[in-house]
Amino acid sequence: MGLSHYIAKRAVFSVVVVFVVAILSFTIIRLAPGDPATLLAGEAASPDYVQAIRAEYGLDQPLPVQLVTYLSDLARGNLGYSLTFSRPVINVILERLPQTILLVGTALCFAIVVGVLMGITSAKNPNSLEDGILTAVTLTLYSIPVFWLGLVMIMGLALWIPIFPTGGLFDVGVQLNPPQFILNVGWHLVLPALTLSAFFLATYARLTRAGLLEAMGMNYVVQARAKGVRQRDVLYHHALKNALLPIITVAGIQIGLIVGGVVLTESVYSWPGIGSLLIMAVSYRDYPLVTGIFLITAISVAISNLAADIIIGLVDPRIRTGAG
Amino acid sequence: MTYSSKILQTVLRRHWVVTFILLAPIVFTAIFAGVIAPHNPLQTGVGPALMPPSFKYLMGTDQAGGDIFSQVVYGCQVALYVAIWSTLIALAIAILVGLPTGYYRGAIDEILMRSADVILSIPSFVLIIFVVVVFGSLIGVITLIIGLVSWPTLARIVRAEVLSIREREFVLAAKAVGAGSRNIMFDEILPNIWLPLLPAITLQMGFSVLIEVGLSFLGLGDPNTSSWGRILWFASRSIYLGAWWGVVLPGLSIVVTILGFNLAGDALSKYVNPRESRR
Repeated sequence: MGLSHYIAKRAVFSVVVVFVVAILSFTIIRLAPGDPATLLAGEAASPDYVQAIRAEYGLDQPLPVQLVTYLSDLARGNLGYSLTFSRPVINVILERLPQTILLVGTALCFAIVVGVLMGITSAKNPNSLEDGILTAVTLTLYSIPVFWLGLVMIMGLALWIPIFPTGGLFDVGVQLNPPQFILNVGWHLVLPALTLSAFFLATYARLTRAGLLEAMGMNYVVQARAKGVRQRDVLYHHALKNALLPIITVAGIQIGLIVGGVVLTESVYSWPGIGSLLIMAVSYRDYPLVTGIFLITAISVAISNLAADIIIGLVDPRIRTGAG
Repeated sequence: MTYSSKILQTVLRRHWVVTFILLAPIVFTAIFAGVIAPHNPLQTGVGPALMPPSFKYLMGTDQAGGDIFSQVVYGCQVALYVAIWSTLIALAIAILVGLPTGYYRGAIDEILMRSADVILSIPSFVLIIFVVVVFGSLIGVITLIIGLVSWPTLARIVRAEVLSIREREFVLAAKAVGAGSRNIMFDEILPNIWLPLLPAITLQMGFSVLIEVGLSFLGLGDPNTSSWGRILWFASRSIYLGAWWGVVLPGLSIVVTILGFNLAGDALSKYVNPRESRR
């Protein structure tokens, strides 16, 4: 099995996932108690508007016809119309997407760098005091709900010792030139990114430690040591390379998990991304927007998973050849 | 190794002790909530609004004058209810999927395990929010949907165990005396996969609590229960008034519970996988 075959297989899987999510959205709306037209039109809608929605979504048609209409709409990028924003759902979502990508990207990079460094420190002297402290810290970070961490950080570093802002993307009502604007956004980004990264940092630290300790017991490492290669070089050149592979895999799998963290973090810090948009959509019962966000997050997760799969396939020849 | 590091290591190795110290009070409080809590957790105006912790109100009061201590006490019940039931639902599905896929392999394996992969790739928290908004924020609905999205991880472990156990002699012996497939799966194989499953089960319980607490924090929890997430949802609005107690104290109970489940998972996996613990 070559690399292209492997990538094609993973790409088909991603498409299946997105398709399943589309079917799920369709089913949930139709299984909902009450009339789907009223649901989609909103509680305060006039009878005329409900009628218009019924016609647009073909809700008076038989279910298979509805499904075909729905899927062909999706294929053309039509996710419906958001009543809250009086605009097409897709436009509302795309406007919010960059902020979320900025937050997730920063948090993930930070988590991987710091997590791997913590893992290396632990694995260098297993069962030392450092290792014990780091293990305790990672286990605790692993158990803290992300929104609680966010609240505590706001109370500590924004209210009690006011170093950072309590939320938002930038200071509203202040004139900023472009470099100032970037600095201002970065300053607002610190707390949300730290909050979001905590859980993942703990995961990567644990994975790196376990991976390194396992690699250090492998024959190739023992042989390198026997040949007289320094402990340091063995750790960084021989063991770490192999220990890092599972991290890429897990980082890919966790993109799905990170969505929950994003929703909660954005909500705590009023970060104007997809997560806080979802909470807004939910509170206004804006169902076209809710289903749209569900679909777009699923597509983003599928694309990230695919990217991780491709990286793994490129780095680890065992995967694409189907061996090992 | 220094003296202090020895102590720390000993404490960390005594996972069981730490787990017990963390989880026992939560279970105890959940069982005797009615005796321990001085007030009805859902009642407002028990005292003045936003009172700091005192002997009268151990964890202070919220902005509606509710007693936070009573809310936290009843929150133990909600957390354990969600943890236990959603995990049981996930476990039941995992066994029903994992046993035949591992035992028969072939097409059924391919189909069911690919479905598990698909479910793992769906952003589950968004799906849960969607379902809860459409079908209503009942604690039963929330628990059910958490269970329904959580089975794939457990099913993978069940399948992996079945794959190795089906080759063992006692399974062959059962076949030789003419036992049916269903008998072999449920009577011969199932009793032998519990141990390796235990770590994943405890971790899942902690995870279920995290999801429910997150949902309630967004205001999507069951309004008739006093979930810890719901307490924090209320309290988060009062932090600008300096009311730290509503966030810090209930939050610590969440951390303690989830840390307890995670430590139990760690301890169990070391017990099940002794090779790990010798490292």
